[in-house]
Amino acid sequence: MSRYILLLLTLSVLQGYSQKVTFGDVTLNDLLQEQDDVFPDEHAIVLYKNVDFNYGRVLVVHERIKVYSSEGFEYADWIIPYENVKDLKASTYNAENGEIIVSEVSRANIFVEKVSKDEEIQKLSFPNVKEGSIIELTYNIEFVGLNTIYTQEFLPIKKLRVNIYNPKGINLNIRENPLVTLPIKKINTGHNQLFTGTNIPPLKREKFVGNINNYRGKILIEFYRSYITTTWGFVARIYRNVDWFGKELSRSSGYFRSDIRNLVKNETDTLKIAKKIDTYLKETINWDGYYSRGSENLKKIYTSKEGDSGDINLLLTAILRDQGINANPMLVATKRYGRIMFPHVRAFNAVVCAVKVDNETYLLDASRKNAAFAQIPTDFINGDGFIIYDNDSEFHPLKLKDHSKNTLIVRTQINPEDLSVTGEVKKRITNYFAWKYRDFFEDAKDGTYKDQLDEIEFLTVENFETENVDNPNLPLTLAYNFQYEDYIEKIDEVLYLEPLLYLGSKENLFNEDNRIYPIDLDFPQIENYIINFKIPEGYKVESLPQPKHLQIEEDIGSLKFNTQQIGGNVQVSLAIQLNDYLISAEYYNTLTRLYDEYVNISKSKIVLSKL
Amino acid sequence: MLKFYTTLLFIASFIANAQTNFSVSEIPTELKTNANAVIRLNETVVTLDDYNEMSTNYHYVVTVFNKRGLSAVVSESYYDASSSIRDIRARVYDKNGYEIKKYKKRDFIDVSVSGGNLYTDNRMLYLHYTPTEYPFTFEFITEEKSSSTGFLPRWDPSPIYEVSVQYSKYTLKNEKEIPLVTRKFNLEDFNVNVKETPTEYSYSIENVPPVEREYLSPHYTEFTPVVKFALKKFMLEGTYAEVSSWEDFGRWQNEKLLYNRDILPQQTIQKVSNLVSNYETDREKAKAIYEYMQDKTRYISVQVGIGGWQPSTAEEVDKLSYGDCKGLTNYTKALLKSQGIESYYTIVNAGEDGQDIDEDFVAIQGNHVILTVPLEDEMVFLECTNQLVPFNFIGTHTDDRKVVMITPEGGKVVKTHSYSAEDNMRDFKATVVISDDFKISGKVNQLSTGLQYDRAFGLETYKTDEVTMHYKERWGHLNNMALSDIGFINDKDVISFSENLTFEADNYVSKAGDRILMNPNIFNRFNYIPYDSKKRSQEVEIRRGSTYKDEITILLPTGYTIESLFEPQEIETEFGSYKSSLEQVNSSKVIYRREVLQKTGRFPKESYENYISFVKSMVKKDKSKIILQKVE
Repeated sequence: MSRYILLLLTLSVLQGYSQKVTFGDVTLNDLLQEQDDVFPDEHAIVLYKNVDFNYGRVLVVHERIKVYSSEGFEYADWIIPYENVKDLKASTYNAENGEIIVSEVSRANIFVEKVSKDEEIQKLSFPNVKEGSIIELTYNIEFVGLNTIYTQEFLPIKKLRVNIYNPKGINLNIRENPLVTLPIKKINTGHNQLFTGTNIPPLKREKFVGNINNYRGKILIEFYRSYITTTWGFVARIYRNVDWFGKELSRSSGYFRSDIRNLVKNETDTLKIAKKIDTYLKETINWDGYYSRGSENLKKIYTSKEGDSGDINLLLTAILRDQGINANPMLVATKRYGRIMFPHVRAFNAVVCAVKVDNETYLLDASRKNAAFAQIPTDFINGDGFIIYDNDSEFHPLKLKDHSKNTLIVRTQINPEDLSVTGEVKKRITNYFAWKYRDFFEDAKDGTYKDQLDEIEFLTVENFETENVDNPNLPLTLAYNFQYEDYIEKIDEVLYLEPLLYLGSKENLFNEDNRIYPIDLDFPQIENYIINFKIPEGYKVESLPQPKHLQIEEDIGSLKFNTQQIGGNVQVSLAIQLNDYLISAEYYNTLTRLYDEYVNISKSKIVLSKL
Repeated sequence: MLKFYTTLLFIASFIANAQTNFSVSEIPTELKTNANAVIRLNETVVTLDDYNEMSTNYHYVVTVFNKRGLSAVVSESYYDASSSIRDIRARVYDKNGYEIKKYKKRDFIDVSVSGGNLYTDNRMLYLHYTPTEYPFTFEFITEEKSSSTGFLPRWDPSPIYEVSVQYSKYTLKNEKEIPLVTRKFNLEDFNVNVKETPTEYSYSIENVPPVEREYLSPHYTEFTPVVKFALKKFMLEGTYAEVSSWEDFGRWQNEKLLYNRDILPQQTIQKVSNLVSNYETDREKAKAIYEYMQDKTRYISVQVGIGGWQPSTAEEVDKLSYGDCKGLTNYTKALLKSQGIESYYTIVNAGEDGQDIDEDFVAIQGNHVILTVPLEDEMVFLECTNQLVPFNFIGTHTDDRKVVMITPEGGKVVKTHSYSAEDNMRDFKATVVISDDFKISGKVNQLSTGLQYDRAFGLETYKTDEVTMHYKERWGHLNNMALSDIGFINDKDVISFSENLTFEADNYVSKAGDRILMNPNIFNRFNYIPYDSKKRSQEVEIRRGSTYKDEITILLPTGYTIESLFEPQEIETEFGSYKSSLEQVNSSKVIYRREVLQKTGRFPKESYENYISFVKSMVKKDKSKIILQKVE
């Protein structure tokens, strides 16, 4: 709920231009305009957006929107996510017979909704909105603590003006999101910081983006006390000293000691002890599904056997430390929470445990039962993590080095009589692919993998077996037999078959025209297929698809495809490897080419003819 | 005082129930097989103290086995200005039936339930429970009081697919014998224990195995037990009603909800009079008024006024130019009335899978309102919440179902337009050139009518990049597609939507040595085969049939000769027909033609296999290829 509101808040707060525009100052020309010259395709455009923020005292918002088509009518319903809104004025302007007709939103058309016990919002709907209308709204709120002002929306902004007034005696750090470049200028006049912009492009919805808010234009406002400069060292000191982090971590540890002693027994290898404890916590303590950046009471978590990720990983750190292992809490910001921008206690929203054994650092998260040792959720792979030591702190890069692999070995028998193929598959699934499998098919029981295979047209699967599903520390293996009907095309006694069976790709998912944001694929990965076709009695190979080798620049990835006849068999192999997992948009076209090639290979043909 | 004791008694009986063993081991095996959750206990007691006062005691216990079973957890209770929640509690048990969590009223969150609405008076208390392990058992107890009696809780013991029911019981106590109607469905098929006396109705059921969702099955209420109740004398947020026939129902709506709400400012009447002065017939006038309304207004959702059942006045809609379905329909009715054209406010169950208004159950029903204009030759149905839809076109939102019109003489049940499989036509034509480097390019034209129009005409409102993406996704099998000259013609009089475009794509053909294989059905292919359930238990319902015609003229690359074309293909079944053929015009030009008819209808469950095999053969035939041989 609170995130929903935050989003709406961002929709309603903002504007631009160094010269302020007066409310009601709408021209007939603006109303008669049928499309924007820079953004001709939009259903609606923010003509003007102004935010005057006198920090902590008063926030004044003024916004004007032009509605071009009925699809833009949704922007005529507004939510103001505040209580005690003052000086609210809202009007719709229409051109009728060469005159401007103004329809005001009256008090009766504003609904005050009690969203929850202590939250109240205002909802209003502009009257007489038609294609071509301009709507305008202004209001102010006192004593509001705002730390993010968005300078970019899903609509283009023609003129933006954000003025932040920094009163005497209050120190503010005011910065823009460094991950996006927008046509916005900044003027700093001591107590005022003025941001102005024109023609700010809208956010674009793209596939494989992760959290689009990371790439959204925004101004971040941070308040700090005057006598300390805010540094990461200062943030670390806060964490070390607060009750719910450093202090809780160093409290007495008697409650778990005898359990752990029994668990570890005579084990002397540090890494093995860490693994045992990690597994023990995964097995005994249930994760409640939430993240947090600390824990109120570790003992309670240990005895109630339930907690959030902050609880569980601080507990893990405490237990490992008690065993004399070099373990320290590491703060992370999840992708969904957003990239770390500048020193702040709330820059993070989750904790993992960083363990150092023989100069190697392992990052542990004991909240996820299906994760292997030292495997953390991909949602945590978001820039750097921040390790808090007893007397120091440091950033540690969150990088995934090991590929997650799907390896399939397929042996098939071609049946020219009924145009089908039968065979057996052995599949080995590692790392994040295995974790996903365990989460999806084992925990959620979201159908089974076999069901999913059975849904492939003309495929029937039997004798489905799995191994190591219950042990996340080992690769998962699957084996099954299959029959694939209607697979062979027989034309004039010649057999045509596709080299990748049902493992091929019919469509390229990378089909966008102009990519803006990096492509987030979560982890480095390899798909590896080795398929063996036994040539049926009385047939010979007439032609095989050409081998292919493609390499994406900067060693981002590659595709290798090979076919060869070995005795009475045709052997096909395909390997698609992606080494990078947050790929810059400039390589989108190459990625498209790689997957185009995959589609081409999938529909190429092995040709067999009668002897 | 007496009331006080009965309440106490209820609580006592609940506590007794709460002590029953909720251990997972107590669940019979047949209820666990293929179930994501089991409703252990679902006990509802509705007590009618009077026609304007009722209380509902609800006790619900569910054991959840996995994530998909979470939808069977009930943890919220709704209230509004005329109702309140007296008690609300919840407990969580582990798999052995030991209590692990307990929630009191103060743990529940009080929120408004505006959801997709801009505004509503309705609120709820809810609890968000995140399970930490499976299986777990969730118990939920509420007591609600209401002075609105327009809706009585229905008994719907088995409402969720893949969830079984161990025990469900519904009791309605009616000491004062307030007249009411009941409607009962499928009770015999499920051995429901029925006890009915003038003062008490009760229904219970035990051990219902999970129902599997089946592709193309009718609505679940057609084959699961359901009992509905409605009072013949009730209150709806302070509004009194006495209704025992559709005539009464209509009269009540006219007198209490619609009366005097169709008055328009003189200025607007003048405007409309000028607008229609050029038209002769009522149909032309009605169309002009409908389009005027579409241009002037927009839809917003605001559920206020007599529990959300009364429209805003026509005057208000006129002033603000917005309204919800009731307000906009009532406004259109007022505009028509000002020109002497009669029309009826009409209540409907909207949605692609919306059901009939139950004619034998006189009660408040439906979730949407449209307008019916009785013209001499036909009933015209108007959807007043959409700015773009043509006059008298209602689409899948409200087509082919029973609705109640509120006429001056009272309520009347009629059926809305239905669109036949022949009406719902997609006529597709393309000319395609295959170049020597196996790129394909050409022009496409598609004309959609009937419900195919409904599917297509929204494209007109897409932004350019959304339109491009639409085609890229639709024809995802065409590699690296580039589009240009995209144009649409939306003919709202004929009700047809035409799409034109020029396209280019890479590597269309498959290479096989010196030959190339090519599927002449370049664009629209059937490729989805529904799951082949071995034991089908429900009828096969194809609610809306369609006709698809494709004609693709293909110019072949130079340097190749046709080695093989396929013979005409034809399938004829009870579900429809499929025909495709190739015509070789000359050595470098072929024309591919396909015509598919998918009939509307209900078919016995035994025929499901035939249906699957019909789809399968269409998928296979749509993959047929022609072979070209390189000229030496």
